[in-house]
Amino acid sequence: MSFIEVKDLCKEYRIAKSEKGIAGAVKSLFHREYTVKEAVKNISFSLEKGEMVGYIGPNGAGKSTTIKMLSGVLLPTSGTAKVGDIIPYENRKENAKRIGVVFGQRSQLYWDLPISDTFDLYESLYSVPKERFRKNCDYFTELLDMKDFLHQPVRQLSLGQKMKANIAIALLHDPEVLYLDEPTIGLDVTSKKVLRDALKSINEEKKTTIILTTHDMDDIEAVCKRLIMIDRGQKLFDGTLRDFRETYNDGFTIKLEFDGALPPWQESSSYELLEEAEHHWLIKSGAETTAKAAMIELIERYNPVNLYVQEERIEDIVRRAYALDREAPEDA
Amino acid sequence: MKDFWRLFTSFFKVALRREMAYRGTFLAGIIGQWISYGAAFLGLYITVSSFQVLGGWSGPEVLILYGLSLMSYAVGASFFFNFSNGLIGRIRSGEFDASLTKPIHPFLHEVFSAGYNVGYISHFTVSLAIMVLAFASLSYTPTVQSILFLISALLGASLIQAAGLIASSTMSFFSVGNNPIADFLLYDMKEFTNYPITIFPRGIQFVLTFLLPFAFMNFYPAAALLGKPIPEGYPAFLPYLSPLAGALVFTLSILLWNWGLKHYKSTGS
Repeated sequence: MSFIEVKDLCKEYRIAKSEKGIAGAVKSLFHREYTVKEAVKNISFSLEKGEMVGYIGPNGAGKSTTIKMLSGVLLPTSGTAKVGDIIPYENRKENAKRIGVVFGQRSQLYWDLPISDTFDLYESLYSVPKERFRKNCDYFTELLDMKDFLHQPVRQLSLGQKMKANIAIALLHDPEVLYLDEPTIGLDVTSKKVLRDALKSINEEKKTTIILTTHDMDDIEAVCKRLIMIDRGQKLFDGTLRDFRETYNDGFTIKLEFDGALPPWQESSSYELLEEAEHHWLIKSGAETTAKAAMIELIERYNPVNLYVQEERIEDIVRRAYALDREAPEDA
Repeated sequence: MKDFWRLFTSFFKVALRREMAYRGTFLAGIIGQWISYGAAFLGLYITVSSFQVLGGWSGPEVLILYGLSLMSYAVGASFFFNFSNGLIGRIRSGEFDASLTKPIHPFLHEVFSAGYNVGYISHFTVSLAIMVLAFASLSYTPTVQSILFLISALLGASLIQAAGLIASSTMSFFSVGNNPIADFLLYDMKEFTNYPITIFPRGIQFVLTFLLPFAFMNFYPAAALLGKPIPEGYPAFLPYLSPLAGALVFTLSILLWNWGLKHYKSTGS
């Protein structure tokens, strides 16, 4: 039995159809038609304690809906979710004591008060023993580098500072699971790095299980060993980042640079010319050859001055995986 | 219960600090309310003083009705107005979801974190002044008993006012926003209680006593204090039931809110 068990989880929303114009509005007063949207369709996965998983998918894929069912906010239409033997949406309060949740675009801080006040409030909200609370405050203030703005009103803080504070308050009661819904959205490169490093430390030192949704593949590469990808409510992939690359990998790109004029391009089935400039080519190689073989072959054939190989970026792989899913018929 | 008070005090401290963060707005708000309620009071005063006697109630007696209604609203709204008014926005923005991830009941978390509205101190002071003036002009001699009765009636009345605010916020769970029918039931029907309900048709008396028991906020307690008749055929102990009526409708409004919450949890809107 795993720590988190999700089995055949489904969530349907009923959306009222609104018809155009005044006549439509009047009509909908008396008779309203609904369309059913399946936000989450038969999703199953299990997580061990202490895992750190990236949950990805395009907008509207059902990521937040899944997180909401796991955290006890929404009831599933069918299927079950269990978090450490508790069914979150049935034992909402019990579950709440053991989880921390950060919804990226919504702050849980009080706009007009300093963070330290919100900290104190959470101490009594979660009945955290005083000593452990003090220790955690110090730990997260240090880890997230918050000392400088702890006593400033929240309205004066930057987006990155607010996100750090939101993560800190979600963790003050030592939850076993942390759900993060797009924690790095809108943050600059430095803040993102601080946040990713902090999440890694929390996972290592406190053994907190972390599920994180994101659009930024760098987040996943930096912190998650495992990846679950969903689209249109269905699970497309579940495995390690390495397996993900192997499953969806479509080769790599090679850049050849020349001193003088470009040699004539020889058509071949293994290489595709992506870009031609005055002194360089950008060539795409399929996944069937190794980089080493391709390099040797291209050097012998064209004799370039410089050669660069670039692995396909995870973002491009993800984009292609979504595109593949969209090409498939809806219920394949 | 001990936990409840500990939580209440922590949230209350935060609420007061938030209110005091903007002293200028705070003071301006109070003065503004004084002016607007002063004007409303003046309008009512002119009406009742020109009528002389309204269904057997003199001008100052009618003003006691108004004072009780306003004072109970001040108490109820200071705890529940921010909550009631802000819920729809919090649901639309998704902030409400955070309340469902806390280890206390979401209703409690919403009410606590919405904060205490200190601004209602203006309504409270206006209503206190009205009642003191009205009782003085009636040369009413208060006894310990009548004061205790008045306080308990005010508590019941405040619970009724709070129940109205809680019930109206329940609409927010159904993505309809403002519902004119609910507004009519919860706000416009209350207007009747600015006058003794004995002047209205029996149907309205029945509604205001048994269905939307707003008459327990002011009419029945005032009738008991001033020795006025209640609607014919109604039990004589009715005027003493305000605290009970308050506790009952307050509980019902929370049950209604929970029912709305259940809808929200299964539909997400």
